[in-house]
Amino acid sequence: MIVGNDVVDLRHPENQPRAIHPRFDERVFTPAERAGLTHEVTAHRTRWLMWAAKESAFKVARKLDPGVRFLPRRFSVQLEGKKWAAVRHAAERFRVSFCGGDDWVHATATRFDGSDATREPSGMVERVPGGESSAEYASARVRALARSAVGSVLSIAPREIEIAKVANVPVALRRKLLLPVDFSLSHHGRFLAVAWSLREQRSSQ
Amino acid sequence: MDTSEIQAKVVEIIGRYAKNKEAAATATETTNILEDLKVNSARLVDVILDFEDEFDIEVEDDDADAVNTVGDAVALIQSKVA
Ligand SMILES: CC(C)(COP(=O)(O)OP(=O)(O)OC[C@H]1O[C@@H](n2cnc3c(N)ncnc32)[C@H](O)[C@@H]1OP(=O)(O)O)[C@@H](O)C(=O)NCCC(=O)NCCS
Repeated sequence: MIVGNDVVDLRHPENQPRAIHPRFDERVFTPAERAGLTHEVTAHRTRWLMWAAKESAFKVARKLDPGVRFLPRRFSVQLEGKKWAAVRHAAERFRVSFCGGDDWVHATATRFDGSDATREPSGMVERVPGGESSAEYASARVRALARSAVGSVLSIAPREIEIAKVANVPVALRRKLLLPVDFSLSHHGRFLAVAWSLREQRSSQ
Repeated sequence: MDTSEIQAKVVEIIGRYAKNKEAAATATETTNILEDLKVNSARLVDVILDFEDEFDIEVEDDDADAVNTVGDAVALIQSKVA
């Protein structure tokens, strides 16, 4: 399974309704999505759930087709309760699951083909001790989490795993060979997140 | 407005959203906005909207997507204000 994820720190000053640009919603959400932002009490969380759904779906779409670009309005989101969303982009469909707390949301996306709807990728969210970290800390720590996750799936010591980037997409290598676990990284404010799944093996039959 | 004035304004706007403030202070036209300045994707939307307000231009989604570096932003704005 190919996965994408996005974590959002809901208390980050830059994400507050008064901090974002007044035309932000118009720029990134479709009219149907904006209709879900009319209730003041729920708008903040809903805004970032929909954003995280778009971004996590983009990360999957980009792995499937390196030519895909992140034009947010073209990733249309249909929220299905508080835990799920369906995202459409061109002919592709994505299934997004959410988890979160009072001050954060994490979206995990996979391609939706109707067949493996019951299989879910794994995920992990970590709160940075002591508040927001530097970009360097966030990148290094989220990679350490990814090495542990990939290592636990494949029963390999994390120290043997290297996280590299191919065309900006992070991949896991061991002795320069690609490991069969797909994963996605995200960091924002006080949160770091990894989602992962064993890549499908082609059947020999 | 000449190129250096546009560049100074572009760097100032991006600097508001850059996580890497040191790199923002020394940004040149080849500086990558996401990779070097660590502007996240939601803030990149605010950057584009601030360009629209500051330079009184409209930036289409396709144009916005082609902006990777400070130089790309300056070239885009120059083509719109000309
Ligand atoms: C992929 C992208 C959307 C991530 O955005 P973000 O909110 O800044 O960052 P996140 O913390 O959620 O994710 C960052 C991680 O995603 C991964 N990543 C980067 N590009 C990726 C891609 N194309 N596909 C999958 N994963 C990607 C990286 O591992 C990165 O972590 P790192 O910097 O430590 O290596 C962004 O890097 C991007 O490519 N944006 C395209 C342009 C754009 O944003 N336009 C906005 C509209 S104007």
